[in-house]
Amino acid sequence: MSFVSNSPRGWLAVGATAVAATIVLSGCGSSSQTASPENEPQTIKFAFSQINPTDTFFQDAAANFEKANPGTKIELVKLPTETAPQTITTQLQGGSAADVLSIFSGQGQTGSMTGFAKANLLLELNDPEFSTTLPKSIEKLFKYNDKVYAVPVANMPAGLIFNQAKAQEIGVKLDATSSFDDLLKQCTVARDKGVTLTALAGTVPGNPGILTMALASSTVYGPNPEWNADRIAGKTTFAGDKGWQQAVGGVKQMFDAGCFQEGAAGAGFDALNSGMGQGKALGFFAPGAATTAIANATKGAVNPVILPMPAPGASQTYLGTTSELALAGNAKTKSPNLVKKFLKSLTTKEGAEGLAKGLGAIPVNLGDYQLPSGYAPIADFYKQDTVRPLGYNEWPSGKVYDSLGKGITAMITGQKSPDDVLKDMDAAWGN
Amino acid sequence: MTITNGTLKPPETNADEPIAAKRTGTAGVGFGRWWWALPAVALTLVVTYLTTAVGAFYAFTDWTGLGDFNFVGFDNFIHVFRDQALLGSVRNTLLLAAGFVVFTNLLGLSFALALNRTLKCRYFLRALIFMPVVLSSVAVSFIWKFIFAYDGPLNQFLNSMGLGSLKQDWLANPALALWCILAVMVWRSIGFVMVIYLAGLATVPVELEEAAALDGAGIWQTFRNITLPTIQPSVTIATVLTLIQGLTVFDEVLTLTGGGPGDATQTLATQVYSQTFIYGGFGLGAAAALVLTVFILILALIQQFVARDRAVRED
Repeated sequence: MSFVSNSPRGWLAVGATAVAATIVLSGCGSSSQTASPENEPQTIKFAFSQINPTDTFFQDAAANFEKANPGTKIELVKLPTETAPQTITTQLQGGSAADVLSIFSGQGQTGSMTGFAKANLLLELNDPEFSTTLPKSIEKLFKYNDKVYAVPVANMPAGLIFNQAKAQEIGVKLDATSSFDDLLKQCTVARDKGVTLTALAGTVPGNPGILTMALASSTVYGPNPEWNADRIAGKTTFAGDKGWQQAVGGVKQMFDAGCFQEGAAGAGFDALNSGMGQGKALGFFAPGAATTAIANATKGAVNPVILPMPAPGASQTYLGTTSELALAGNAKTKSPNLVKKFLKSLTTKEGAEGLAKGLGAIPVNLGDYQLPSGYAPIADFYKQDTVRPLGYNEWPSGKVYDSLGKGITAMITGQKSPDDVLKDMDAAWGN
Repeated sequence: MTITNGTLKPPETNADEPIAAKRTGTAGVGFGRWWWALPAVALTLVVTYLTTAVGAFYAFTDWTGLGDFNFVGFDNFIHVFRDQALLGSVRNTLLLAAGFVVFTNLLGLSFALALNRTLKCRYFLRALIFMPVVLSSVAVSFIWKFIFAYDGPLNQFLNSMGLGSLKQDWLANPALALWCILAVMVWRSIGFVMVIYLAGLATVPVELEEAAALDGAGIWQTFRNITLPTIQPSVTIATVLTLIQGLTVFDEVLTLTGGGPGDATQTLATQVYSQTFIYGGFGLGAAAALVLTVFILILALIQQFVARDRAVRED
């Protein structure tokens, strides 16, 4: 019995199946026509993620833009926070990304601007307004080959999110002028009262990572703001740098002094919020937006402030800041002018302040902006310009920052010495 | 039916017995043609085999997931076997897979034997033991993460029993974390393996066991010479499936420890994820994935060979 039909009907069906399969399979990769600049579509998609699910600042910004520009429409695509960088990377590479995207500035993380710009996947923001509104201190995070490819969402200090009211209640004294030794002493005072000074989420590399970066703002990037350039040039290494040794050693000193909760190495993010919410911990290390998020979540019952992180052996305390949240346009957008117009609206004073207020942060151009109440202890740092961008946004890959976060956890479990952690970071850097 | 050297043989076929007539004629012409399978075959080829081949291709490149790439030959594979963290993940993967095969099969078979017959509440107990299988592995892992937490129920229980000295940060202890993951994996899969063995035990003829008992065989002799040979196909299926499951473990590791503390519980599957999606090293991630696939293939073949049916071995 032959299994190959010789009938015309059979071959017709084979042909039809092949054609149908080809159409179905090739349909996934079809490209659409691009409209001329004068007549481009007035509807764009905006894909974004938000750490705090109740935040609405991106939605508000889109609604304000539509109101100010009748006839335009911004379709919002909310992505899960945990997977947004991977989703946006895959969609950009596959040609199916939204017109406007929330990404990270600089490089060193999945979903960072430089990798996308290198691959020609981002729309160049060549209007002068984009470059003139970028502060000098952070402009390299938003440029590639001297061209602007992204706009900052806001600036946030990174430090100790601290429940000052609870601390005063139990006699723990810590403020923006405290030294590192003061901090270690207050860890003991807090312990004696049955609480820990700071909760640590050891299973989430970003948490021990940001703690160490806050220390390195004073020990590394304060004295030498161009440390990353020196590392790229091969003039220094993590393991060979005294500032990095002090920063990583500082975390070890904090652990030995009992600054973290029992079981910190095995704790997740939940330990941060629940620790502070239940009064078991006085604070945790995070970007400043956490002050607003906690105040909102507790309906004002807890109003934390943010404190700078004093560092061991540093003559001056510098405040670490981050402008890593960024927005960019898709190079393949059919509405490049509308995308630029929308992004430009977010760089204006009103637009930037709207985003900052909603996020619980500050605009990158501070001007006369009223700091959130939780930022009061760090106001002088901005006035005196003793702030430093957290360095990891310029590192070559996410592996370096991940090595730092994982290494810190391994250090407090006794698997690694501070020197091992720094050597691992050098190995992850690649040269 | 006869038994020779512990092997069941089906009765001889009587040549005079009627044999089902072969299907002849042209009834159903137009149906069952080979090309009816074309769409499914095409989709399988494209979705499974072509994507796997493309993934394997990237293992020889330095692609970051964006833009162009360069060919790097076997550099990624050399890196997999030289990098201490990746090498550690290979070791962890093999340890978890071996432990998972041994413990799930021993416990699964034990429960199947215990709940096979006689016990009145066996259906209820079977359902109880099978219950974790239907739960999401991520949900199960989060529950266990809570149980293992430093201030979690396990340590509280130890405290209440006066065993406070045994209190541990279970998932942050590099010496214990991997065993905690293994315990969760085994706990979740015992019911699955038990069901496979229960199906196998249903094929063991009661009269054989009774005959063996009359001949003076003990429980162990009956199990060794009658039960085990009869359920040999179940043993093969259960061990192969648990081996593959053990080698590809991902959800439990990522949820319980995230591969930590340090890299103490990283497995090949979590390394594939980290290298590819966290570090943007698609080439290295693809190489690690290919190594994992080859591991699974080789070990599954060895296991199939070792656990093959005794009748086949004696042919």
